[in-house]
Formats: sequence, structure tokens, C-alpha cells
Amino acid sequence: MIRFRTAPGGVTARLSTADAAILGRIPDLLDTLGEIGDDPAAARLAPGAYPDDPEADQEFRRFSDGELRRGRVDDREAFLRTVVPGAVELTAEDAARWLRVINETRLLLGARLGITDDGWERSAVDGGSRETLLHYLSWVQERLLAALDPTIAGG
Amino acid sequence: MSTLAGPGVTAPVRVDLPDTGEEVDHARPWQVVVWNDPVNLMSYVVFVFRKLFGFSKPKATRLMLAVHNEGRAVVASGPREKAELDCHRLHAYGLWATLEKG
Repeated sequence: MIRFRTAPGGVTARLSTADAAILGRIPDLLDTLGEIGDDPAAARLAPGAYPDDPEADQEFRRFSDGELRRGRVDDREAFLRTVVPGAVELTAEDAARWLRVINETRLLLGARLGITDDGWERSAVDGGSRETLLHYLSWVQERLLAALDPTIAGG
Repeated sequence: MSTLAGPGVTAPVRVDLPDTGEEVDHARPWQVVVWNDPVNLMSYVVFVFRKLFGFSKPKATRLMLAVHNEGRAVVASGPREKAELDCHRLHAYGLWATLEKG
């Protein structure tokens, strides 16, 4: 059972061995991301900025898509370093990396499960392991956000 | 978030007029539009708006609910370069954002 507690400038995470094992496998799952057209998750994770203007969209992607990939690789590496059994102090930046990695995974799972409508949480999508992981990650993300809430700048 | 409304479904048709000068570009800044998404958590979307734009929690919550209820909301606007950077930063957090001429 994973737990988060508000700490000065961040949160303290307490992970069981099982949590650390599940979360530690996420980067391998994210590495399976395919190309736009082949993998429904690819378009969702790099949606572009100009859906009605292919030329402007290509120009935008020239800087954005590579930056997204690089940022996500950095996030995963930092995430893996902090996903260990026991108590871990996460700075605000660490926590933001966790949230981005977890969210990226949730989006990948949602796209591959074909989730397109609200309310999917209330009934089984396919009842498989991807759906179980998606629900687990929703729970982890919600708890982490709750612990982080008092520390967020902007009031 | 609730019902899915993609750019292809509800985005208005953008009409490019010839000879639109600088003056017109300044008068009509680029808008950063965030679209509803069935997977992103409401609490996460609020977090991202606060984190990226420094919005207060009530303002971020209002914008999140606008996205949730209306399918989309303009969350920022400005010159094209700034709007593109904001759009990219939202993508980095997994939000579904696109750009439109205001």
C-alpha cells in the first residue's frame, strides 16, 4: 500500500515492495510506444498544435516532438531512481516527474484500451491487466496530488 | 474528465484571409485551447493549470470545469511563439491542447 504525506517543499512517499515493483516496470511499458498511425497512444501523447493546418503542425512538431521525447526519458530515469521500497523524500520537481510519468502511462493505457468517453471507471472496459493497472495508477496519482496540494505555488 | 470532444468534432472552421497584416495579428492573439479528455483526472488538470500558469486554485478549478462541461476552454493567449510554448508545456504534462487564432 503506497502512502504519501505532505512534507516541506514536497512529499514523503512510502512504498511497499509490491508498489515499487509495479511502478518500477512502468518505464518498460512506456518504451513500447509505437509510431503515430500504428499505436493509438502515439497520437495522444504527441497531439500536435494545429489539427487543421498540416504545414504549421509539422513546423510545431519539429521542435516539440523531440523535446517531449527527451523530457520523458529524463522523467523516467529520475522516476526509477526514486521508486524504491520504504520511505522516499520527493521534492516538488520529483513529484512533478512522478505525476508526468504516471499520467503518460495512464494515457497510453487509456488509448490502447480504446477509452473515448467519460464514465469508463464505473464499468469494466475489458477487465484485463491493463485496466487494473490504469485504476491503480489513477489511485496513486490522486493520492500524490492530495499530498502535494498544500505545497503548490499559485495558491 | 467527462465527454470527449476532439478538435475535429467541435472546432470552428478557421478562415485564412489574404493580406492580414501585423496590425491584425496583434489584435487577434493566438489562443491555447485545452480539450476534454476521458482519462486525465480532474485533480490533475487543476494541478497542471496551477503549476504551469500560476493560477489560483479557484481559477484553475473554474477552467478545469469549463473544459469538463463544455468540452474545451481557452487557458492562455498571446503571441504565437508564447502560445506554442504553452501548448508544448501542456503536452509535456499530457494535456490535450491545440492553438487557434483568437
